[in-house]
This record gives sequence, structure tokens and C-alpha cells, in this order.
Amino acid sequence: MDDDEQQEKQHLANDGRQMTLIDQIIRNKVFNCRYWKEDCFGLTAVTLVDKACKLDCVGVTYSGTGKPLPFLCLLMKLLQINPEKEIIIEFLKSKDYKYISALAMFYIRLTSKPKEAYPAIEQFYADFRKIRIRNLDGTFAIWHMDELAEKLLNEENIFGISLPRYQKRWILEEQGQLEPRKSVLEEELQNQESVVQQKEQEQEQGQVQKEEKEQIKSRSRSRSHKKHKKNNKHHSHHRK
Amino acid sequence: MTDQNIPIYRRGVEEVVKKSVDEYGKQKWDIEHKIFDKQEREDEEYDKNNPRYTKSLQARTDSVGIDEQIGRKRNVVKEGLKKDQSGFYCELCDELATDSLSWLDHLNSIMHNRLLGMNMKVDKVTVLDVKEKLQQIKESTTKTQVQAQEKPKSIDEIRKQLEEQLQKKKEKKQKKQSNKLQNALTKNDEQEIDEDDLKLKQFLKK
Repeated sequence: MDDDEQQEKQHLANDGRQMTLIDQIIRNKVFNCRYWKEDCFGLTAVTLVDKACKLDCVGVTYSGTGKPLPFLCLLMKLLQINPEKEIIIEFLKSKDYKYISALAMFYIRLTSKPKEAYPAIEQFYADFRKIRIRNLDGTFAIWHMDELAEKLLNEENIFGISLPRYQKRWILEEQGQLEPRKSVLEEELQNQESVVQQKEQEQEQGQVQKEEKEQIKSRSRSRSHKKHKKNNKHHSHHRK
Repeated sequence: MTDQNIPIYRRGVEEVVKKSVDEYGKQKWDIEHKIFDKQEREDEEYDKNNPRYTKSLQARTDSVGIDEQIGRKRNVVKEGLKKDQSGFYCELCDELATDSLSWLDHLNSIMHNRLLGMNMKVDKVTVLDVKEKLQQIKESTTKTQVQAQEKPKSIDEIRKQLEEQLQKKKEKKQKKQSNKLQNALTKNDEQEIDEDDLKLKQFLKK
């Protein structure tokens, strides 16, 4: 109980000063960069969508001096204007623009509790769209959405941003706060199992019928004869 | 001087000039410090009927124009009006910024936006607005894609367009040349007349 209360207090404290979730060194770089001053001034959640549509890559800073990327600037803007949860969920759902949903994933990981963040981010485990990523040294790389989701949930540090600590998933499951994860493949697996069971049943029925027939009919065929034939075929195949 | 009704964190001080006349008929201007309620002033700004009303902060839609001045030449004064000195000049606030970042800082400052009639708070947005915006952008992008697919230009069309452009340019050049010629002719006539007049005057003086 004490741990829960402490966590809730932490999250409540973040409401007033959410910008402090990102370290001061990176924060000051953002405030002094041109994109922040020119393009991010006076944005609301609606006008932010215009900018977020034009994003090229996911990343935080690049080069030796640590220039902030537009992705980080927009993330800081989201932290500053602190929109409603429903708006962030709307960003997550937008399937036409993958970088908007990546932005929302980052925001949820930074601000919300593990109870809500796990199911929200885990739905991207079934998403295999490619995204361009800029590393800290300025080089580009290709990831997929499920990779990003997995790294956000399981790692403590991503692109130099230190993420708030989350409890492991199995601990939350044991405490009863979370239900075990349902994968998309589960339905197919169940279908397959049912199909396999049906086949087995049919086979069993068929075998029973065959045995009955064999019992009725003659038992002249010997198994040794069959084996002999097979072996012959096998050898001939090799010689070719 | 202190109004006990207003709590301390809300009190703001304002200077008021009071004019009075002395015993000997001499004018006097005394400055009085008046205490006012800060929150009342703030509330006035959001009330539409009040002359102090300011609208909420809105993002810039057009570009600031920092990159437009690259490669241009301009005559610059070292001492004189701020307008003619080197740098970015703001006509609203009569302020000069020598640096692009400080120029942006000025554009984002409270005083500049107050002169534009805005306060520094942003409107609150609902989910429906965001949904509408996402759909708008989707529709506009699909439209442009469809247009690009529908009209692949053939070579003949492009040639026709180029020829039309060239013709227009030629016509413009011809017009300019004809205008120049006419101007030159009229000027010459005037000068001749002037010279004749001068000669006459000189002759008469003698």
C-alpha cells in the first residue's frame, strides 16, 4: 500500500512541472534551439498535429554538441501544454502517421503509471511498420514499431533520456494490478488447436473404421513387403 | 495606504501623477503610489466587453523570414536610426536585434505580443478538435496524391507552356524598349528648347 501511495504522489507531483521529467542539460539545449523558438511558439494540441505530420525521424539529440531534433522539441511541447488523456489516446490511434503515435508512446511512458502504460504501449507489439531513427552520433538506422515499444517498456535509458522506473510486468500480475497479456496470435493458436483436435478425432475414427474393415477383410498383406518396396525406391532416387 | 481587504500576494503597486497648484501659483506634479488588485486586472483581460481585453495566444502561421535575407546586399549606417542599422528591426516596438536567436526571443516576448493584442495563455482544446484536424490532414494528403496520379504531363503540353512563357518575356522586353525610346526622345526635345532659351537670354543681356 505504501508503495502505491508513493507512486501516486510522484505522478501527482509531475502534473505541475512535467518538463522536469527530461534532464536539465537536454532541456536547456531545447530552449536555446531554433526550432523551439521559431516553430513551437504558441502551439496547441491541434496546431501541434501540423508539425508532427512532417516529422522524419525519431531521436533526441545528435552530433558532438548535442543538437536537439524536432521530435524532442515536440515532446517537450506536449509536456508543457499537458493535454488531456483522451487526446493522447487519439494520437496513439492515428494509423496514417506513425511518428505521431511514436510521440504519444514516449509521452505515455514518461508521464503515466505502469498500470495504464503497459496495455497502452503493448498494443504496438503487433505493429511492424518501419521507422527511421537517428542515433546520438548522427547516424541513421531502421527500427520497427514493436522494437521501439519493447525498448520503451524494458529499458531504463533510451537515446540518453532516463525513463522513470517501472516494476516488472510479472510482479504487477502477481499483485493483481494487471491481467496477463493477450497476444494477437492467441485466436489463431486456439483455432489451430481446435483444428488439430478435430483432425485427431477424425483420424481416430478413421483408424477405428479401418481396423474394423481390416478385421473383416483378408490379412494377407505383410509389412515386410512394404518396407522392401520403400527401400528400393530410396536407392533408385540416390543413383539418379 | 494599505487596503486590508486585498491579500498580500495579490497586491500590485501603480504610480499615479497628481497635479496641484502651489500658494504662489506654481504648478506641482506629485507621484502617488496606489495599490490595486492583480487578479481583478487579469480577469478584466479575459472579459470581452472590457477595453483591456486581450485574445489568447496564437501560433505564427507565416515564416519569420530569417533565411530570406541571405545573399542580399544592403547599405547600413553605423550610428543613427535603429531602422537603418544592421540587424533585424521590429517596427512595432522600435527594437533592434543583432542576432537571429535574439530576434526570435523578441518575437516571443510578452511586450511584443501584448502590442499585437494577445496574452500569453493558450486556448484549451477538446478531443473532437484533434479528431477533425487529423481527418482534415488525411483528406488533403489523399487529394494531392490523387491529383499527382491523374495528371502526368505530356511533352507537348510542357513545350507549349514553355513557348508561352518565352513569348510573354519577349513582349515585356519589347514594351520596355519602346518606353525607353519614347522617354529619350521627349527628354531631348526639352533640352533643345532649354538651350535655345538660354542663348536668347544671353543675347538679350548683351
